[in-house]
Amino acid sequence: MNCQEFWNEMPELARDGEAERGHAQECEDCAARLERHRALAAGLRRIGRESAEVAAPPRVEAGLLAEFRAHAGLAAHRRPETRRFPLLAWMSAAAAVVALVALVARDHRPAPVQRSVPSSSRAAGALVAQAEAEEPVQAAMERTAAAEDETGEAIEDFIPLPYATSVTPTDDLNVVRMQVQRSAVLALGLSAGADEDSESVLADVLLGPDGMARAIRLVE
Amino acid sequence: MPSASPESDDELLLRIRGGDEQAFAQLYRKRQGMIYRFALHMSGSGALAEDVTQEVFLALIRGSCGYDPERGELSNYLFGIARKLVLRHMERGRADVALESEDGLPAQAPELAVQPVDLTRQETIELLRRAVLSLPSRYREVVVLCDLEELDYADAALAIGCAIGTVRSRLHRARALLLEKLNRGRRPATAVDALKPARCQI
Repeated sequence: MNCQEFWNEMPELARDGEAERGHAQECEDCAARLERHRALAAGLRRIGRESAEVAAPPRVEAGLLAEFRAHAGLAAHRRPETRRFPLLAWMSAAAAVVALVALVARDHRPAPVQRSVPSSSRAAGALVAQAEAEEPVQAAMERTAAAEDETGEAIEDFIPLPYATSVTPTDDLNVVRMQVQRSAVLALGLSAGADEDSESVLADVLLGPDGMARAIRLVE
Repeated sequence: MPSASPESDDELLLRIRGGDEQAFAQLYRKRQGMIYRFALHMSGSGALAEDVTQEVFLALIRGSCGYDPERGELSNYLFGIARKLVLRHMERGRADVALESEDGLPAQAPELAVQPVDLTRQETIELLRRAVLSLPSRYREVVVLCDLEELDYADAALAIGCAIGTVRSRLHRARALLLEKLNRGRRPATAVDALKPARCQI
């Protein structure tokens, strides 16, 4: 055992009375250091022993007992009310469940099919100019929705458009796959293969409930 | 004749939750000393220790301590509450916590009573007491719990909310810091040397 290993195991060795045996017998430095540690431990134990009888003043107990009585008294007064609680709680819970079911049913009505993007959208305007849907929009939406269901993370692939309203988890979103002008994509700071010949790139555009473009995802 | 075996903390706690004042008094008398001493050793302030003791047991009365018997003993849990309260009080600077002087030792002696012993030893013990108070709180708490209150590492780890290995390494570092502080004292030659006769008592 070297010095490092000796000190690594020291607390246990000291407690078991094994510290003097072994390494400390061979190493003067460690033996001296061990002696200082033992003196320190004895000093600390002495402080502990001297304060062993130190306790909180009696007024603390008196105050706490008064508080205990007051608290127990309040609890006793509250008991008749607490007996009625289960009925009220069940009624409230039932009402909450009915409201929740109604809300869920409303939120799961079929989403409207978006066949075009409103021209009033500033962000979308640049993106969808000269864009042509390459495949049926409904098919693209269903495919994207299925992918989102599978991964739960697909929306994270989209890059938010500047100045667009942020998307919240409760928003009714639509995805449209379209050809977008390469220059518009490059203007957003996205890599769109500037050296390629084609003037447009294929992209999924995320539309908010108001039909405005919120984010874009390049397909390739 | 009823059994004289003392009730466990958990049994007393059950009775307390049923509104039994005697059980509360019994648990308080059993555990208040350690909580008070812990707060006193941590802060050096009797007033803060009194406040902390009161708040710990008030949490018990109000049932707001969230104690779960499956996660450890009540005493460790009470230490945990006391520790949080002490640290919070000290952060706020509300209490008369001993301020450190330039040499890293508190300017004010703690309030613990010291048995009359020979002057040199008493001075040294006093120096050691001040050195403990001047440790950073993460080191001070392990010294107070393990060396002064003599908790084992596992119980100290539960009270602090860390791993046993952390307690062990902090304690090792704390003792090294204490030795350094003692050697930096005004009488470096006598500081640690005066502790040496204590070896004979081991």
